[in-house]
Amino acid sequence: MALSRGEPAAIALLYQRHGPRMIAFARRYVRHQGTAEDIVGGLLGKWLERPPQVAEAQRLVAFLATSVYHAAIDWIRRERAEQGQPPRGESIAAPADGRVSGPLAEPSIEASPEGLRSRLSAALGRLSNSDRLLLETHYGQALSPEECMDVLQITRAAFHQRLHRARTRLAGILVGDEPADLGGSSR
Amino acid sequence: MSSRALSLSELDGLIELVGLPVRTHTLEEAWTEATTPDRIAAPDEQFLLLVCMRARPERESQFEEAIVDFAEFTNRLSGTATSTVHRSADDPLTWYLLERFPDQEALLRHMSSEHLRRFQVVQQTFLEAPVEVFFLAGTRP
Repeated sequence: MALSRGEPAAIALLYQRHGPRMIAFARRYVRHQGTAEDIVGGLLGKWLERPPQVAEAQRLVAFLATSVYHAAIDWIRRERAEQGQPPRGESIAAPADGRVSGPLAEPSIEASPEGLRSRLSAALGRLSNSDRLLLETHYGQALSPEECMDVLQITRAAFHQRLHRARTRLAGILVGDEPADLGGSSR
Repeated sequence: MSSRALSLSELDGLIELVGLPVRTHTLEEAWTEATTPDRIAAPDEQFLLLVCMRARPERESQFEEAIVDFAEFTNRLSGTATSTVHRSADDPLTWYLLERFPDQEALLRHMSSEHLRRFQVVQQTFLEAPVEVFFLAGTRP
């Protein structure tokens, strides 16, 4: 695929065909047209420097959605860090060596950021689709609460109630005292 | 595993630290929602250009200096245009400029500027092939 070879003509064509959608998608997260344009411009620059790895079987929409989403979330995280904003909620203290104190930092448990990421992925894999979607909405901002309610066909009150349960369940799985919820309430 | 409970605020802090992975199909769902025609901003007059250049090997460092100066000058001088420089990781002789102009007037001003003329002179000596220009948004005036 010409895009994976980093051919400028392919990147140009991609932008000509999908640029406005990419910007609209970035704007969904950063809420500002100019910033969204900068994010998409930055993504193009990144692809020119290092051609994107697009799997043969991967759909273009999946590739674009994933790429723009991560670029937008990275921008949000950088902005918050630059502005010195504390994490949402009461954070776990993060000492200089990158290890995390608190319940996940017992000696027998890998608690480096990579280890935590891997444990989080494993824990998420044990949740039901609907729980996971609620968490992706709340923490990942992937969908708006309204869109999530629409997909799950639930009311706002049910959304908050089920989100609370999903967070509690995830916390339980992470410390090993919650059975997985593989059943059910799929999307 | 630990038997100590993880509070929700600790869970929030953990996820803040490492991020929560989002599944591709959830993002596809979001993409579909966000890119309906009514949510895409009407195209404005802006111009986005991709300029591709390949330096002669023996002029590599001189060209690097020239292109970086050119982009800085564009950004400083115009106040409205933005120019970013990118270099291919696979082929370090290949360089790209992504240039954005808010309107045709800004683009024409840039095209008739002295610093562009000087950069074009430099290109004749430092590049091994003519530049390639793609109009990503807007069309050639």
